[in-house]
Amino acid sequence: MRVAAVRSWSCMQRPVNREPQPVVSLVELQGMPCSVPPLDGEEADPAIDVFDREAVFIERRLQKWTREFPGLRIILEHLSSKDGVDFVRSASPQVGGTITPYHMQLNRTDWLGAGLKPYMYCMPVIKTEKDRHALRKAATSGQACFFSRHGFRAASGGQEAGREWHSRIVQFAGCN
Amino acid sequence: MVQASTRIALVDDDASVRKALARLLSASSFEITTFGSAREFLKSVKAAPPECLIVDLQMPDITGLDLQRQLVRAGINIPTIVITAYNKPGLRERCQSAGASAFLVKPLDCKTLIGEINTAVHRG
Repeated sequence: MRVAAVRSWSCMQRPVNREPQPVVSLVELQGMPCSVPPLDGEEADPAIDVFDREAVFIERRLQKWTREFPGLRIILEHLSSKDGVDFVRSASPQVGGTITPYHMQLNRTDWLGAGLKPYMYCMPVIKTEKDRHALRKAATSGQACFFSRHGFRAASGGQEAGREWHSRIVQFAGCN
Repeated sequence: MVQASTRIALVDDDASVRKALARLLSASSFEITTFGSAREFLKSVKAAPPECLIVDLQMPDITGLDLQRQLVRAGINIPTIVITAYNKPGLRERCQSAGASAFLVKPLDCKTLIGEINTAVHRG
């Protein structure tokens, strides 16, 4: 299957703010899923709180794109919030979302609650317990719009992070 | 190459295809008018006949093939490109014998479509 992954969203932002971009229609007509990678799936406006960027991105852009390009299939990579989960569910089957093990396993209290654990930093950033719970529920719902593109992957922390994440994932798998 | 102002009519019941194709062909300097049904197109065709018609084969009510036949019966000769997502054996031949210039299967390749439009308009 061919997938169009757009690293720079400038071309996707234009249809909303300026004139429509035929290249997106080309992707749409081909029936090619368009992947929104992590980082690009968040609002880049520095005025937006880092924990709200996924929700704001959905509100400001993705909702418009799904209306503007009704035949375009979009994969929002690395969902990290309840807002993301709710949006994917509501926009399915046009929109799908991938979920990572670390977003299902960690919340921001793990990351920041008892001293900063820099190896838990990843983008999109790990969010609240409510978000983590929504992600786990989505991942185990059996709904086809939620899936995993990656297996386990340490985003930034090397072996130590890898071991911690791995043990948590084993624990997670064991308690399911 | 066809002149920039070539008038094209697109008949497809799928709004997303209408929107996407209109955007693409407009970007290629064609003047495109879209219709959600063959009936809608038939209402306007005599007043403003296009230079090329792109029509979806599978549509409720009047199919692309029926539309072609109706146009021929009415003596309206428009170069027609039939598009479809369902390529069944014999369909291409049926459409071509009904007068279609080209038969393209979705997903559409933009270059091929524009090439077929140019060919159809030149022939017409």
